[in-house]
Amino acid sequence: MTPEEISAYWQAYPDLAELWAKGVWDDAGFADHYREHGQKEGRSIPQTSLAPKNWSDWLYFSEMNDDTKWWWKKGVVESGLFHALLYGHDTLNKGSIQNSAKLQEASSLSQFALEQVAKNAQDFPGGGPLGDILSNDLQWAPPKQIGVLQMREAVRAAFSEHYGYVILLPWLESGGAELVGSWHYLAAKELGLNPLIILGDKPNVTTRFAEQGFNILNLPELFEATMAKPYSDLAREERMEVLTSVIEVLVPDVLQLIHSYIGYSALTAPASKKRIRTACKTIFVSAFCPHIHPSGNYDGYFRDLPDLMDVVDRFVFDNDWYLGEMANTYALPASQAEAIKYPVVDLPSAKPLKKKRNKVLWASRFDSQKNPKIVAEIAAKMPEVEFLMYGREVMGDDQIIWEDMPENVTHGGEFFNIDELPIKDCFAFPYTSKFDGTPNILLEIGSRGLPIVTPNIGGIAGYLGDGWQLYVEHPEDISGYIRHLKKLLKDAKLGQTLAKKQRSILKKERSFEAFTASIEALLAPFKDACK
Amino acid sequence: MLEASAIINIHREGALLVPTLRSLALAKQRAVEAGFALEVLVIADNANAETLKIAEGFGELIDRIIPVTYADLGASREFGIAEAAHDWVFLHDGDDLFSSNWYLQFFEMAKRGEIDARTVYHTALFSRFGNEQNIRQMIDSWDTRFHPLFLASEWYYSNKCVLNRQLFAEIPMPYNNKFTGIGNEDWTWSCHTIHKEIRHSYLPETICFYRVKPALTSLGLTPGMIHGPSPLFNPDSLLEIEIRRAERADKPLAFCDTLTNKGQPVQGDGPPASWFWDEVDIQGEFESIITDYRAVPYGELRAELPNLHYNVAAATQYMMRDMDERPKIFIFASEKNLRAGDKTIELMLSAARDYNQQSHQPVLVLDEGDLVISDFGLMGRFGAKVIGAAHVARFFKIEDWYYNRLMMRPIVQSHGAILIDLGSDIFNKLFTEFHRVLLENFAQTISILPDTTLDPLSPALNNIARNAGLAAAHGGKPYRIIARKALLPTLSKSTDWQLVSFSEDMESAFTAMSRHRFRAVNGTASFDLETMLATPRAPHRNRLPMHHRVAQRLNTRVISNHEAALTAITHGKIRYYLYQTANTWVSPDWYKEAHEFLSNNSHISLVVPQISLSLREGNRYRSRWHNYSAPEQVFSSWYDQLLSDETPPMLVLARERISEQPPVTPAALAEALFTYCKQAGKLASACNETVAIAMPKGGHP
Repeated sequence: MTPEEISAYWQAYPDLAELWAKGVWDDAGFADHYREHGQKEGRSIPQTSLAPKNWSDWLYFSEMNDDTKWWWKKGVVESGLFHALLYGHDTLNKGSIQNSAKLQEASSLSQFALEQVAKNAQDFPGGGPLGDILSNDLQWAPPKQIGVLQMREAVRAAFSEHYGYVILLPWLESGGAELVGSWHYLAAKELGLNPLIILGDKPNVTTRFAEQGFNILNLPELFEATMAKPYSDLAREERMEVLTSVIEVLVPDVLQLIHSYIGYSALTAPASKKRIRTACKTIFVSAFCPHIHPSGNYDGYFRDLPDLMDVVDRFVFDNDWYLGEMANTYALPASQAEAIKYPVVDLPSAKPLKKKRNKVLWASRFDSQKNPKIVAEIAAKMPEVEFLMYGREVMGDDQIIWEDMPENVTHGGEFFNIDELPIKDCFAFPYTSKFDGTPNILLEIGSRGLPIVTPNIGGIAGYLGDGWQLYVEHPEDISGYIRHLKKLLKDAKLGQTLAKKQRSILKKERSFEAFTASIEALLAPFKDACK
Repeated sequence: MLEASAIINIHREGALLVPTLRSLALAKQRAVEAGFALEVLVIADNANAETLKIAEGFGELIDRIIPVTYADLGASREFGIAEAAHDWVFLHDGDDLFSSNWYLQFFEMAKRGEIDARTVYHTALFSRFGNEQNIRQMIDSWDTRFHPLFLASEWYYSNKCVLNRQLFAEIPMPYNNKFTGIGNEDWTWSCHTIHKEIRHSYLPETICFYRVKPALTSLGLTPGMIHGPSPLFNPDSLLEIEIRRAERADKPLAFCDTLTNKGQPVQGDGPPASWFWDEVDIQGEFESIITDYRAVPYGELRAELPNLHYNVAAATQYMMRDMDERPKIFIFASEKNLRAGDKTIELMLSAARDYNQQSHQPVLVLDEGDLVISDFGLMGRFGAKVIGAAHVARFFKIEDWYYNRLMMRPIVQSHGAILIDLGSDIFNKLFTEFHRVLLENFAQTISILPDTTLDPLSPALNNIARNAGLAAAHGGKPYRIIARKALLPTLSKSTDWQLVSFSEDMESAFTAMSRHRFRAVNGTASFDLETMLATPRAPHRNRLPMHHRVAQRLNTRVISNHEAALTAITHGKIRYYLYQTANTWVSPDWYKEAHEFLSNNSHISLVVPQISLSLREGNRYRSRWHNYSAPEQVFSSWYDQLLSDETPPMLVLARERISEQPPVTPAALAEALFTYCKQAGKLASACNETVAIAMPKGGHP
């Protein structure tokens, strides 16, 4: 028998392998056994070319039959599969990693690469990736591309000036937040602070804002242009990182956060808030009112206030009421809060209204907050009056079925500008919102001389005053609305007087000049930072 | 007139203290209006100025604010209780809210004589809000459905309660210790009190609104804490509990608590009552997040009873019975990780039995695998208590989420024991979650590497390496590893552990058990555990930083040595610059190969390994094959990985310096490389199929 035949012989029979392992027989002993007993027992010498070349294969295949495990557990063989994969040169001829089809299959690494991984495992036993590769197939991945460095470079290239006043908005559509942002932009410009608007959430810019020629860093657009993939592909944390990095490049004197979700996320997470605080000399955050859902729960960005208080210099409100609420809820110090009166877009000279008017105007969003359905109940009890309703559904939380509305209610459609509304045909403007800050629509309607019937909610008293004659008791006060509307219908003079009062308030308190002065005053404590 | 005190412990709650104080002010107002008196004390433990200022603004609610510097909730609570003017004390934290009837309900019940001095009163509902939103009904500890041993794996009674402080005199509230991992003081205290037959009950129609902060902003979560040892779980207590339960006249008929299905009985869960919704509106005025309960679709919100898992009680009985008063030596073993495991375990048990020639009880915690355990045999021969890890999981149907905590119970009960691990899976599993507990509360915590030859993939070695990494990160006592002498030189490359070599008798005993067992059919092997435990650490050399492990024949000079290092490498009189982060490994052959590559390819500026294995959370790896046709993309990808949950291996050999100042951090290196490659003509290439690997700190996970 050749040595190869002897080896193949004892490997083929577990009882013989055990004798080999015990060291009972050497090669001559096995040869004798075959000659004297094995043949008689019907044992054969396996074809040596079919016998495993080395121990690693033997171990690999027998592992599948659980033999090796048993031998190893019993302490017979030196080590198990793990060892055999790595040590071709050790005390037993166990083969080497090159022969491990299993490992290559699990990792998709080439033989040369696997040898390096094995070398690493020898250098750091118990550490490194080899264990992970064996227990879990190695995960291959394309390059990680958030694009932070590219975005920094793109911002440096496209926004190389120093922007003193950076306003962080979600987008520029038609909401009140955007309007507030644009006012801050204009005031900062007036004050020579070189403003910039960052859109942090979506790329949307309506024509109204596009036409104004603002400096806009449209983060989603810039990202798509730079990285050739949608900004929305990034996870929230990744968008926070992009935004934080961009702010670090811009190092603005003042950063004003207005309703950007990613902005809030970045400014409340411990790591990014620290970086933003370091990058910006002054940080303002705007707040207007909570949002009350139809189910009765109310939320909004104000909930982040406790996590923001340590990094924000001023919380800027559009009304005193909400400032007071926050002071009450979170002990927001007066020194850290400011209520600003935002201006009305324009105050054209008063145009004469038609003398005989029996129409009222309702214009707002057709959302639960604005409570448009109550108009049906009011209208049903005032058949002599026509109710014109303008606006669009945004939240989709309180759909109106127009067919079910009383006949004296007309759906006028969407509007984009106050002057598109038939104001001169109407004698009153019922405002039915359940909650609000200082609604811009009321400023604009007031500027056009239409008397406002409204509940005294949110920041409305900050505009019309506590003694306004046309307050209803609460947003659901149908009889209150009817009473005031009837009064105005009957007494045109009263309407004129109140319209005049509204315009006088606006003229006195809501001019752009007054607003700019208030922003200047807001910035005064941070004067050194805004050079 | 019955009077009481309320203790509010504050620290750095800031603005979140306001809703709490407004909520408690309303509750106090209702009690005062009904003619009852309540003293309110605020104990400000290392409170920041903002928090203190807020507390000072609630003069009408608070009688006294007392600043203290214990930096420990338990200690400052204890101080507050001592300072209280009255025996009945309400305990509060600084960010929870309570239903407006919380004080009034107590006073009215007291007036009717329905309050018992040996009962701790909790709220009827415990409503989590914020990052979690659920409602738990309190269960009375005298409720026949409640079994005290449930407390082995689950927390039932918080310290947001009202009680007579004499109970604290009788059973002091333990302290939290984040370093040793023994904490959850209210949990431990409820074990102690229930053992003393003190009742935990609740005041009807009261609610604690418990704030759960979002993970993104929460800094206060301390994982890996466990409630401390309690006589409740001692073997004699197990029997007493059963006797008491058997003697009760009001045993439930609905189920049998000695032969129940897991999780039975679940009864009593239902939608919250109207008084809950009334309080949601009231407390929602103070903390709007509470109104989020309104957003839950009708019927989905349930006030649920806590888990009533009799399997936990039964498993605890299995683990704790036969544990006697002797000091313990725990041996943790996994059959599948041990060569000649059956004999090795016997060897360890006999060494433990004979340890120090004094009485010890060996406790074997065994991943039994294919082994069949002879409890009687092990008890008879070694006096050993055996806990089968798989038996606990399978037979008692223990789920993963409370398995570790339950398995820790017999260990925690044996404070001061000796813990010896044989590279087992079960010890690694427990150590991963509770390493502080296992390192800091026992006389010795050591691992024996039972391998005969060095096998980098040995499961035992991998378990031990992971444990050592955790121990090193914990920074307490060094983690002792006992291994065969022949293995020490290679193992000493890690700085995570303190190496000790097998003593001679141990070496020969282990060899006899594993290598020669079939060659010597008859015979015994033994070693002296005392010698092993006393063996001083073997000298080991410190591992050199990876970025200096350059192959020989290259002349190197360190220029900048930080997290990202810069080294000049000269060969054949040509100098190139190596940028490498501290955790990056590459085969030593790479350096020379890269040097030669740059020498032979004058148009190339950078040479980088082609394949990178990035380290992710949980010591998992992710592989990338890099295309260097746009090298800046690869380097920006490194930067982005650093911002996420991956650590890339970072290594570059450069023809010239890539920046004026050497980058010192990995992020700065990635940015510098990105910027460098944006210049015209700066090409990068890879040596084919070379691999760079990000290594965990210390070389081990």
